[in-house]
Amino acid sequence: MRNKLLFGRRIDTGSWVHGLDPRAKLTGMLLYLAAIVLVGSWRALALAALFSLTYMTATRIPLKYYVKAAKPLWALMVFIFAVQCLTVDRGQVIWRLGSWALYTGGLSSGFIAASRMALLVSFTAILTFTTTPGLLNQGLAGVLAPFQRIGLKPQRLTLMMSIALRFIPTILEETQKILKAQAARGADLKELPWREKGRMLVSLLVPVTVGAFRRAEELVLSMESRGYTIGAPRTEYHRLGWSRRDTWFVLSYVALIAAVLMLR
Amino acid sequence: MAIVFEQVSFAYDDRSLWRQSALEEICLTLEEGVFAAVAGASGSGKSTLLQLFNGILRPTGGRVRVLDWDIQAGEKPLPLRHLRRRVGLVFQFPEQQLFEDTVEKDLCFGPLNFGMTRAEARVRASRALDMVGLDDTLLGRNPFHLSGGQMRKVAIASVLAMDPDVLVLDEPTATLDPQSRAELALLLSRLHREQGKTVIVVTHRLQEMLPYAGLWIVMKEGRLAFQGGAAELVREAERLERDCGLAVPACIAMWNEVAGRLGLSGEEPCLTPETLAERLARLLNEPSGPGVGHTGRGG
Repeated sequence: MRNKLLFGRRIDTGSWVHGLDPRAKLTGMLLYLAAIVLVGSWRALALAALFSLTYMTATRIPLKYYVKAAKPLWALMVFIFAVQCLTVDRGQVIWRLGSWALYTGGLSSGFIAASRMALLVSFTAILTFTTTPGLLNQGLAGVLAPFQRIGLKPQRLTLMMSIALRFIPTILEETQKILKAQAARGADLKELPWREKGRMLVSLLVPVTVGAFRRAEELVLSMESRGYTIGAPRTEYHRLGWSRRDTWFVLSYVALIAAVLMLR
Repeated sequence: MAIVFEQVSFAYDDRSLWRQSALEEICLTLEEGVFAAVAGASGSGKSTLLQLFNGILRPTGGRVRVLDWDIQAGEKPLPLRHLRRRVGLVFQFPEQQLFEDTVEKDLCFGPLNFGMTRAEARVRASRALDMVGLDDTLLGRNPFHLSGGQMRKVAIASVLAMDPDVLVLDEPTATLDPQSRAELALLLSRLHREQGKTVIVVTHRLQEMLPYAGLWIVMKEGRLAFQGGAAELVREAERLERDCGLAVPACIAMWNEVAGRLGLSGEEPCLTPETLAERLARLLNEPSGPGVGHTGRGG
């Protein structure tokens, strides 16, 4: 199960992307999102793809992991592609079926939209592939720090985030343990017919939810017993350091946006 | 032959960047009707080993033969449902293997899956609960509201209810009070003796299983570090403690000390206070015994 779910798992290869300031990476990803939204032509798409590939190779993580990261969303991509094909009526008619026709414009904008989605999902995986959850949180706190003036509490948000992220593997593990216990007693999910499979998965909900609540309660108790108070001023174990490389990294995204705008 | 491992290796997340080797080239033969105990430091692969016994995990290298089943690495998986009826596995943490909303449903889960009628399953459930020393009043309770010790007993009972031929338990006595622990060890030995079941137990408290286990297996970093009877285990205790981080109980250390000083090393070890006292008394009554002379030198 964990093999298929790549979200939130770090792959350490020690590349220079791994060593960047998490704030730079977060800002970069936000700018990338803006750039991808702006992509509207084949030329811009090609540029964005080239840009993405360059950074993906720079992480020294095998490209198949990026493909894997985008895989769970394939249905959404097919859907986006289909919607564009069904609705856009620009260009020449390729195929006619009753009152509906497939246009070249629909095909190309469908392809561009689906590729944008694929690029976005696989590229943003760089963030979680190259950054530990702790650093990611610190980065998020750093990015959100300016909003403190308007009453936002970044610390609370990041605490929530880090606990939520921390619990994903734990809950998956617990689910797997129950699945194993059921398999050991003659109900192996892999060997059951479809309808039974559904019933078994529903029967997992109660114990897994109960387990999650129990864990959450234990966590609260153990944090409180060690004197944790929300919002107390804290120092950090690792301090983030912004270097020139981080500046260049962010600037490269600004350049990407500019280029995409020009190629529109 | 109940269980044969031929150069079995296992790695979690095999063929990915997170590959983690847990077992390496294990060769192991367990005869039918044996009572085996598995020991070793945390993370030495004990739990992984157990999960290979009933095909919950499939080997990533080598071949596992259990009863009439043959599980080979890289082969298309066979349906293993009926193997699991014959090999009952109790996992390590009891609170993580109960999933129904009453104790009775949880106990009946196995028997029902293996084609028993509801009435038969109920009889099995209450018998299994009785075996682990709990009474029928618990049947209607929610398993998540039980105490840790009760949960563990229910988890064990849920596997006993399937009446498997091979019983595999992962640290069944952890979190139990001393009395329940002794009772459980006795129950296992009774199942082994009277019903001829094959029993395999992981334990950190060696002294608990010493009176019952005929075969000892010690794991170290995913490999077998020792395999043999209790007498050999006692003889090699010092090495195993040093190399494998085995917690050698006081009774073994005591025997080795006494045996070393009195020249009894070749004998069957006496591991309870009573047998040791008896042996010493016999030694003192032997007028020309070898032991007496040694006492002065050793002391």
